[in-house]
Amino acid sequence: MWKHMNRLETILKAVILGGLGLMFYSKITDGTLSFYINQRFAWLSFVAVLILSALALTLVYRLIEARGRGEGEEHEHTHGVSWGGVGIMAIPLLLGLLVPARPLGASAVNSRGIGLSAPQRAGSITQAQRAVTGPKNILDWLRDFAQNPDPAAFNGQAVDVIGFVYRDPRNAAEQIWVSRFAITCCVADASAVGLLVQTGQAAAFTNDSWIHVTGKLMAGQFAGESVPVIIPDKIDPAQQPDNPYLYP
Amino acid sequence: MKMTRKRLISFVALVLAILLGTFALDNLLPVLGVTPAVYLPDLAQTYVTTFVGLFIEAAPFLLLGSIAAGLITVFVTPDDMARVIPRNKYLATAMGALIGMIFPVCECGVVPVVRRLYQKGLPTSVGIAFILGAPVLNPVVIASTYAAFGFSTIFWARIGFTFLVALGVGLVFTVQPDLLKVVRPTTLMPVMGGSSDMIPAGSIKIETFATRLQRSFGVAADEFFDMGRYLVIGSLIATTLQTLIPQQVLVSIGNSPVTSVIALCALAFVLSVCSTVDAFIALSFVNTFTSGSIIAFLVFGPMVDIKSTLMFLGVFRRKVVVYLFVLPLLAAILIGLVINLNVGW
Repeated sequence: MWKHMNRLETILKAVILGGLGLMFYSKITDGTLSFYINQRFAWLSFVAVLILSALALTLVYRLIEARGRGEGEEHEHTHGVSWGGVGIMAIPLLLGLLVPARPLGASAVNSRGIGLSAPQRAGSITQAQRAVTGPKNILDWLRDFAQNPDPAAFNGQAVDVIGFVYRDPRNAAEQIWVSRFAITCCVADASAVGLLVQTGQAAAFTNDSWIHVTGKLMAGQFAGESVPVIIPDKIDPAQQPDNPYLYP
Repeated sequence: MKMTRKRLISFVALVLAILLGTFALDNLLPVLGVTPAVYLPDLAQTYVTTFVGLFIEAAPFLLLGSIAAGLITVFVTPDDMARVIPRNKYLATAMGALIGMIFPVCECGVVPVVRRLYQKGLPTSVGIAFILGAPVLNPVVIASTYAAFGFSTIFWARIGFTFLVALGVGLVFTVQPDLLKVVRPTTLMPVMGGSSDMIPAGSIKIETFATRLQRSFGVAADEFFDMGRYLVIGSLIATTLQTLIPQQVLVSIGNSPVTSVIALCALAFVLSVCSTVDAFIALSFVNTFTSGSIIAFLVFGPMVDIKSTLMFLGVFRRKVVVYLFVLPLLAAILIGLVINLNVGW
């Protein structure tokens, strides 16, 4: 009875290890890895695939060798892991493989909140890596705002940003957020940042839809404070970028 | 030689199987109309993304830690470790805390190792400093802490305070050099045939390097499952707090300089997440909790939690385990409070 338990357990472990390797590899190849972690850690996931494969293989050998020995199977080195203890590792496996990858969006903003302060954290992508070509993104603008507390200083400056729509109870009737998530390491530290957009068609936009906003900045009102707000010339629907997060 | 080639072929076959499997999942199955996908409402989707994200970031470090544990168990003897310890009582205690830098062991691996070190005649204080310091002061944990927090105040504070607490508590035990008063009698009896690094009686053979490597990978696989389940549980709890608990509640606890420290120390004790990856659990709180509480979590968690307390009880006398629980807890709370109230990081 105990021998059967060990064999079954080892088979289960080998399947889970192989399956986790599969999960990591599939996320690397279909590009959704960036939905979960900072791109600079992608190589770690590849290392994970290699190690998981090696461990799965080791367990397969253990099974083959045990079968070869037949009845005289030696006492296996176990920590007394039970079915439940092993099965629990199937949770990330099943969720990772079966639930389609989708980046954090409006629903996550509901849980975490959104703000105008750009997260500052050591260890993020260095300045050199952040090639500033093209229009400033939301994070760039928020950093500028932090440097200069006078919202009127930005009046008239041209803005060209992409983000997803979010409506906040604090928003005025004709105001929406255009937002992105900023992450340093992985979704664990993701925080939502955005710019405010003043538009008469605010009601027409649904949360989570991606938009491309071009316009000019003007000092406006939000939650009782004076902050720079975008007066848009154009708001077009946009494609969710391959890499939906911003890195501070 | 034949065995090695067979293994190499099997490894290549497994990798090809994984590649083929991925290709099938992504391309062939949808064509056949079979898309194994579970579409979820938004909140559930956010929950899954956050949870899987935690696992994806943490798993590589857990795997590296497991491999290290496996290699240490098979290839390193207590003699090797004892050789590195200096004679002087105080230097030895400091070295005990730092040994993990050369011989990385995880929180879970620490207790079996310290038992063997005591059997080899190491002083009490060195073993204590080792138990408290090695779970954090090792390359894998430092790497994962860097991945989560970068070279920030939190990163350096974790390393510095862990060393100080491990050294401090270790030095406290220099007043009781008599090992027999500190450990349980069974601790000093050599273990027969049960520990992982001893070749089972009846099969004495010269082990090749390949066989030992395979055995260390076997140990690594077991370690990964042992530690992995705590990672899963810890991730589920952290994700629930971050996704399902209203932001206001978290912020009101997290921003309070005293409550936040107590709360995260309690969480650290309960969660029992391996030190190789608890930095990512802590990261979930970085936007809502004070720095002092996060540092307290990162210092206290690897030293004492439900899992390690149970292991301590197997090696140390009950009175000693109480000290091992209370001293680091007081230190962590003090550190957290001072950081929040006086230093204001």
